[in-house]
Amino acid sequence: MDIGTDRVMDPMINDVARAMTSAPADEGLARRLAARIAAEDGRRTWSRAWLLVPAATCVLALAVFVARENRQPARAPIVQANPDAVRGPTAGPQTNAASPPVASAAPVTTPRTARPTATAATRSDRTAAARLAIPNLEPPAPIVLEPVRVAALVVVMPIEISTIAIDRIEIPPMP
Amino acid sequence: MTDDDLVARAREGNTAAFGELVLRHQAAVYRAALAATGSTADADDVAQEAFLLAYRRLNTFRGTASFKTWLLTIAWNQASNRRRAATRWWRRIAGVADADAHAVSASCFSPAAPVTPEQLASGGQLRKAIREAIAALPPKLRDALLLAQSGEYSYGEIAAMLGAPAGTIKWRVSEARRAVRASLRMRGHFE
Repeated sequence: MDIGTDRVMDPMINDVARAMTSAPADEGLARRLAARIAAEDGRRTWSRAWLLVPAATCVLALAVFVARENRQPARAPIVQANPDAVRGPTAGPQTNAASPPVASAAPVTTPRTARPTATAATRSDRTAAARLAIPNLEPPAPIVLEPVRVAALVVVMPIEISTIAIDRIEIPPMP
Repeated sequence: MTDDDLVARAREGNTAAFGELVLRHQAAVYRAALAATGSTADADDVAQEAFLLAYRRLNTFRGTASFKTWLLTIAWNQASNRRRAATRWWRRIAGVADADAHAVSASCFSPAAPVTPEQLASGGQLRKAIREAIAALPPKLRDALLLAQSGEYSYGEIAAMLGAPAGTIKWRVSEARRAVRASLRMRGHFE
């Protein structure tokens, strides 16, 4: 390696390397950049506005839903007609549940399952009616059922079996 | 007004403050982009994209490094991505093997300033040979040499851009010079 030659070559290499990146920057860069930033900010504002519409719709729908839920009364237990409830005076609470006034109020406690397409107005009317009907409930009179006599379906006939007699078998000795 | 003051104002939506930052650093960003891509058209695009990206990410600038270093890192990443995409495109088109990847990259590297007839008359041939030798260097060595010789960046800034320690950058610059000298000797210069 020739150190003297390197001393001559290195400044030339450095000079050429500097020249390779010495092109001046575009003078319009700042202007173009400002225009792009302004356009982007404008676009961002528009996109925010477009996002605002569905967001507001969602909030509105949620508010309506919550308001409607608050207007509905607390759900009463669903009353079902139980055939075992008819057992006479001992089945007190169950017969109460199956009594006519409560049964008439039963559809009110399950309005959605009864009529899913009912409007809010009809629902609120029914709710009001149910509120009025519930205080008038009176304990119903116990149902007394006459015992029903049923004839026996099967008559058991005694079967007599004679004793089985087996005769003795005599086997002659082998010859 | 310092860069940090301008950054604070730009964060508040003051685009004029960001415009001032652009004017201050556009030469450094452009040179870095030119060193990476080797094309003035690509460097313009990269510089613009880098500034735009910096504007969008201004809130992520924490101030641990200087604004210039942060900006240069963004610009270098943008330029590297573009160069990588161009290399991939060339590979796909020409079916070049991986070993020739840096040769393809060098072929994409066009000199920033064209050689004038006056330069040709006064040692222009030697300068042209040096330019070709630099363009043919592996990208890591070429990047370090071009950035170091641009006079625009400190070794610390180059290290941040290239993601290597400053000592490694110095070694790469020295190695790049050695490779260029060897190439010139092989071509018959300085025998």
